[in-house]
Amino acid sequence: MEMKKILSSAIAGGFLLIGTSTMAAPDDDRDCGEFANHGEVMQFWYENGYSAENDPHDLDRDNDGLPCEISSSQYKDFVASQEGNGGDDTTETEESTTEADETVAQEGEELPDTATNSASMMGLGAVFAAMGAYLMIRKKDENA
Amino acid sequence: MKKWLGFLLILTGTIIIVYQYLEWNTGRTSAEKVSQEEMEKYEARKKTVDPPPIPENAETISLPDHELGEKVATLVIPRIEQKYSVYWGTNEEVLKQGVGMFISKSTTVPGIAHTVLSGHRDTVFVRLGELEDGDELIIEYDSKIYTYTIRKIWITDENDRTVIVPKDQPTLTLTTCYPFTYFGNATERYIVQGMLKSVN
Repeated sequence: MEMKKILSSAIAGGFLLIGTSTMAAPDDDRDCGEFANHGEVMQFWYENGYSAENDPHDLDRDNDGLPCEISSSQYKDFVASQEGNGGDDTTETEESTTEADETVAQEGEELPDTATNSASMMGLGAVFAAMGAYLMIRKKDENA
Repeated sequence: MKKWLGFLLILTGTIIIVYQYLEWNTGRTSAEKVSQEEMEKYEARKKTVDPPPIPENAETISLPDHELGEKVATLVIPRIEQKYSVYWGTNEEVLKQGVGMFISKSTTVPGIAHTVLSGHRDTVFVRLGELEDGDELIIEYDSKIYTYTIRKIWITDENDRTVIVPKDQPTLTLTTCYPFTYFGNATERYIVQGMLKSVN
C-alpha cells in the first residue's frame, strides 16, 4: 500500500519534470477567435503570404486557401485593395513572408529555440530506473 | 508481478537515459577543442590581413543552395579554444547536430551582411558566457576565413524580434538560450554580436 503511494508520487513527479521541460512550446499560435474582425484576419493571412499549403496556424481548416470564415469574393476584394496601395507596400510584405509569424512587417526574425530537454529526460529515466530498482529490491526482501 | 514491473521500469529508464544521452552527445561532439596546430594556422592566415571588403550589395545576393543540415562552415572561438561545425539551418533537427546558420531574408552567409549562428546552450554553446568584448570570432566558410571582433554582448527576451534583422555591415551574431543551465525553460536569449575585421 505504502509502496503504491511512493510509486505513484514518483511517476507524477516524473511527468511534472516532462511538463516543465516541454512547456516552451510555441505560444504565438493564432486562432480565428483572436482576431477582432475579418479585415485583421485577411491582413495577417495576406502579409505572411499564407496559402492552403502554407498555413502554420491552421487558420484554414477546410484548405480552400482562405483563412477562417472568409469568403472567396471577400478576400479578392481585400487583395485588390492591398495591391492598389502602391509599390512600397508590396516590397515590405515580401520581406515579412519569411518564417516570421508577426503581423508587423518591420520586425525581424524569431530567435531559434536553443535549449534541449535532454537533461530533464535523463533525469526522468533515472527516476524510472530508481523506482524499478526499489520494486525489485522490495520483492527480494519479501521473499527472504 | 512486482518484480516484472520493477524490471520494466529499470529497462524503460535505461533506454530513456541512453537515448537522450546519445542525442545530447551528438550535438556536444560537434564542438571540439582547437589544437595548437590549428590555432597557428588561423593565426598565420590572420597576419596576411586584407582590409575589410566593401560590402557587396546585399539585395542582389541570394542565399546559396545548401541542403538543410549540411555542414557548411567552421566557427572558431580562440578565447575558449573551441571550434564548432556549423550546419545549414536552425530548425530543431539541425540544432541537434550542433551550431546552425540562420536562413532567412534578413540574414546572409559570412562576409556580406548579417550572419546569425545559433546553438543549444547545453551542448555546443555552454561556454558562450566566457566571451568578452573585443574577443575574436573566426568563421571558415567557402575556403575563406572571416574574422569578426565582438562588439556587443547582451541578454534579451525570447520573443525579441529586433535581433535577427537586416544589417548594412557584415555582422556576426551568435544566439543561444539563457540562463546557461541544463534544466528548465529558457525564456531568455544570450546574444553575442561582432563586426567583420578581416577576410583571408
